[in-house]
Amino acid sequence: MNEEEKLILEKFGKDTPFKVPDGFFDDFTKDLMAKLPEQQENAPKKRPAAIIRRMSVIITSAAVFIGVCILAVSYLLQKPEQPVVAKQAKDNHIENINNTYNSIDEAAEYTMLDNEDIYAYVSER
Amino acid sequence: MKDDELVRLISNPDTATKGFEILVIQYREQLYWKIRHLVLDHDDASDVLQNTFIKVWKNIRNFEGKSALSTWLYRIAINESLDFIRRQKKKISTDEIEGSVANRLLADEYFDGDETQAMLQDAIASLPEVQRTVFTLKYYNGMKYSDISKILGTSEGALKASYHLAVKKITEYFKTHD
Repeated sequence: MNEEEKLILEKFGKDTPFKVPDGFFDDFTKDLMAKLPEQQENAPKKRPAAIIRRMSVIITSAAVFIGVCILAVSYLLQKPEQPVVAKQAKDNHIENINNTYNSIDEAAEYTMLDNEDIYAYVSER
Repeated sequence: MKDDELVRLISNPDTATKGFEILVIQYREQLYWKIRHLVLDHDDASDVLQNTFIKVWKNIRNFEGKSALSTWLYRIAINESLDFIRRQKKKISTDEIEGSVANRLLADEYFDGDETQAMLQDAIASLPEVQRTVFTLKYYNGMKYSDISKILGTSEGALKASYHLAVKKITEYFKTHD
């Protein structure tokens, strides 16, 4: 028993602080017996036979094992994606650069600036 | 009467009622006090005890004897008590319950304790369910961890931890409320 438990015991003791009305338990029993419902004729819950239980464990284990094998095989057979992804990324980058240049040309046309004006502007900065 | 004899009597339709009455007389007080220490109020404990025995009556034929009859009965009683407490909490806000346990007990004609005892019950009522159950079964009913473990289906190690946490929290409660 630790110190805290000793303190609680010393302070409160173990006697219950609750009371019961006189004759409660006898009256309780009489009332209860009078209120009992009809006992239903439920068939007792049947547990699966041991062999069926064992079979279900085996089947479940087999299913899990097959699932893991399928996942492993799928993973191993996958072609590496890096070259395709890298090529796609490079193509996207080139397209973005082209789009940027096109935008600049459009802007230059709109403002009626030629290349001489643009170079002059940039060199002043 | 021994457990297996009782179960045999109750399972036989011709002797079921007589056997059940013997069971009620044999176990009513033990179950009542376990319930009372959880639900606190005598009328509530009486209702929960009745529900417990009715559940036993309806399900005794399904009792397979894998545990002691007393363990099975206590388990039903504890579950009914906890269900009752949960239903009660849903009806009233938590603040109302925790703040008024001590006051309600002091006004209760079936409470024989003083203010300190009422505060102890307040502290116990504020514990989480498992700690509250373990504490009352161990402290007031003097049950061994091995027996509590069979009732609650929890390991003895976990129960010891719950009990010590409960003791710690009760001690802290009195430090802040003194």
